[in-house]
Amino acid sequence: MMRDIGYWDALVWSSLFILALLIAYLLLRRKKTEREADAFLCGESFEYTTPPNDFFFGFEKTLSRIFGGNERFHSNIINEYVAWLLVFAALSSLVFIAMYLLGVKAI
Amino acid sequence: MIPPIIPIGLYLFAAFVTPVVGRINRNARWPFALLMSLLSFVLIASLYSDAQAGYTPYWLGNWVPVVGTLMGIGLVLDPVAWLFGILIGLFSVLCIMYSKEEIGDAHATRYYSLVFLACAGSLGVVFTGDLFNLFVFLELFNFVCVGLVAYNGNERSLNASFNFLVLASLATTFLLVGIIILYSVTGTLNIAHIAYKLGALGLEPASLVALVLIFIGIGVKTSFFPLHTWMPEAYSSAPHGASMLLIGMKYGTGLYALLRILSVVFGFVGTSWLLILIGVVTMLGGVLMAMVQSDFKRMLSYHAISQLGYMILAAGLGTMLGMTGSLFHVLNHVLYKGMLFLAAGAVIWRTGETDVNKMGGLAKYMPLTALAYAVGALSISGVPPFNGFASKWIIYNATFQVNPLLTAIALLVSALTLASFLKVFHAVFLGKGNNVVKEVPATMTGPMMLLALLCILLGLFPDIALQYAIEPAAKALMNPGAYISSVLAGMFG
Repeated sequence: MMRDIGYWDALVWSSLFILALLIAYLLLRRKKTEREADAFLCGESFEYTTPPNDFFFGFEKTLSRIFGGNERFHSNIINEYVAWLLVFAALSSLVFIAMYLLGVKAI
Repeated sequence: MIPPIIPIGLYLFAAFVTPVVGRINRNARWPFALLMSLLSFVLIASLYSDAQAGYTPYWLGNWVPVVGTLMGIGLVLDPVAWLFGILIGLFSVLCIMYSKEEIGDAHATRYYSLVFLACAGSLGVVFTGDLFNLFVFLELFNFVCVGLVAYNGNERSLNASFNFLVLASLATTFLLVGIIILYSVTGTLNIAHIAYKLGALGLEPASLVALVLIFIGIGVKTSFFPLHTWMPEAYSSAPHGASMLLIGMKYGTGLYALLRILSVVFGFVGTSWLLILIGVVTMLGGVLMAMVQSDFKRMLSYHAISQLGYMILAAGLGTMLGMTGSLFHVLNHVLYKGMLFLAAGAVIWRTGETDVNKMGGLAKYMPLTALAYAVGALSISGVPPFNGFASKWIIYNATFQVNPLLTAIALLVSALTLASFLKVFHAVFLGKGNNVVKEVPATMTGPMMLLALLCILLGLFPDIALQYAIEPAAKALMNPGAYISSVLAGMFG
């Protein structure tokens, strides 16, 4: 089936993956310049660590309203979760009734 | 043919006999539990040929339908039921194996009994052909889940189990009322019979109310957005082996029941924009929450929600390719997400930390766990040649046929998933950290390695799974008429 929807060859895929791994390994092994060696990521020297939570700082900052709203939604307060369930129940009832009235055969 | 009630019965037997075995010899509990789970797995696997032969109803007590009358409780074996059933069987074995060290000696009896009851409940949901029995098995599974989530007994797990209990109880109330309404309309509880009668009556207002109630009730079990709120805390608070088991069974109960009821009972096989919308929102909502998590298992739970979105989206397309992609993604997702939970569990078990900010450099000390995590992370992110890519590739193609915008969203979610997993892989396994630990024992690495191997094999040779398990299952879901006529054969003289 996979061949029907595109190119699929186990040997080619595994060769490409091994090649990619090899390139990554060689890039890691090469001697770093002083400037590159200064670069740091989370988990490295504690003095210069970027915690994983700040890894996508810019991305999260830009989309802070979406992330913030999403986090507020997951408050871990059961009263709010029940309220959301009831709101969803009401909304989906309206959708189903509208579809029924319009004679839509699939939901 | 082995009656499908046998593996369900075996799980129930094991659940109640394990405490007796523990009384006789405490050291015999784990080997006994492992043996029972292996035996059940073999029994489920042996049902393959009967399942592929079509729809094989099994009537409990030999109450077969006679002309004009259907009284017995039926179990129905078909390719879809077998696919979900074998995953439950496999995960029960891996869970028991993995939990030996994690659970220890003190409360192992209780734990194994809960695991077996969960297996019996979810396998019952998968094999039953009766709506009320589906409800009963689902309830069994829910209440056992509450026990498993609360198992650790700390504040977090008790809070998570309470939240789950409240939401699951509400959901089952919705489901039960929906089933009662369907019974009052059709006068039967057999899924095929209800479908047949609804087909003759058409969708009346009462049936519509039942549909809404069942949809919401099962939606909470399936945990699609916004009914998923109980899930991240519940799965991240449970014992690590149980988290894997619950992930495997969530699809065996929630998603299976949703697809089966929508397809067979209500005859929805066309494009469903409601399901597509739910799928898209679930994908995006899950991955965006996952990106900002620092708790290892909670992050994985949000990704599980996000991946569920792919399955619902693909199933909602209403095409054969979409349904194939959806079911293949269920199989692949269960394998790699199960492995990721096991790897996360191994790390948490060794370091005692759940916050990824406090980990680092563990690849040096736990190379097998790091390898398993890397395979799982690449699989879930849809990187070729791992299994996640194979199913996502089908889903991309299927969505492209309906609307290319859906493909773009699916690709975006994959990219965000990769970003999130790279972050966590680097934080936990690379760099330097405070934790000097040992690799986990072989009973824990064994299940991880097996799942990693399956992820690679299914990625390299997806056609094997597609040909022998996924495509027959997708055909079965896309053709509800065949299910109805096979189950009711004999009723019409």
